[in-house]
Amino acid sequence: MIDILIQVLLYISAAFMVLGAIGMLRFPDLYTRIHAATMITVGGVCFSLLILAVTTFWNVYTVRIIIITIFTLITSPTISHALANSAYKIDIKPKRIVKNEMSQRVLRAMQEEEEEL
Amino acid sequence: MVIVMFEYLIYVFIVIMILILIRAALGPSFADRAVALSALGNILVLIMVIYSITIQNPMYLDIAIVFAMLSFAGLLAIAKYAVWHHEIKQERGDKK
Repeated sequence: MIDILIQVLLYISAAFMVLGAIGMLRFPDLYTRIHAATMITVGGVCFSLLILAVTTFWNVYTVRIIIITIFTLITSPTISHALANSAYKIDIKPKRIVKNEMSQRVLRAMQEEEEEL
Repeated sequence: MVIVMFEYLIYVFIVIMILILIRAALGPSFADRAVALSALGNILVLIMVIYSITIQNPMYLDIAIVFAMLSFAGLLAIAKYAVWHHEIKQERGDKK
């Protein structure tokens, strides 16, 4: 019974990963692709690792799998944020944008830095 | 006890990795490729964990931890280096 449950949950997370991969192919923009990649990581990989940690309860494997899960949950949004930030600084703008509030902030911060110098 | 089902799951992972590799090959900017490599590294970590449970050998879990740390450091370095390179290129363009 529990084997069937674990199998169904693993295939649900694999379905999340397939949807994220299709989204990474089909989305028009860098920032929406970052959204799809984060869905692969959090909805697919971390969910699968939690299921495997419950499966191997309580073992040599469990502690290390939990360590990998927490590490991935911390680092994946950090990488997404850093890449989006640096891509915005290199003038990769989002497509079909209606109102860009970030540009005014960036301009103001640059003016303040110039005044300080 | 849950060893049998992993055989079919590996094929799903291979399909997902091929889709992500297509995006990494034809991504227009550097950040597309870096995001695709991040997702690819996470899926590789998951495959290592599944393989280590399948063959009943906890050695691959340590390799997965080290791989996750190195992937994190490398992608952060890529993100910082792109901004730095862009600034240097802009300064040279202003001088010329």
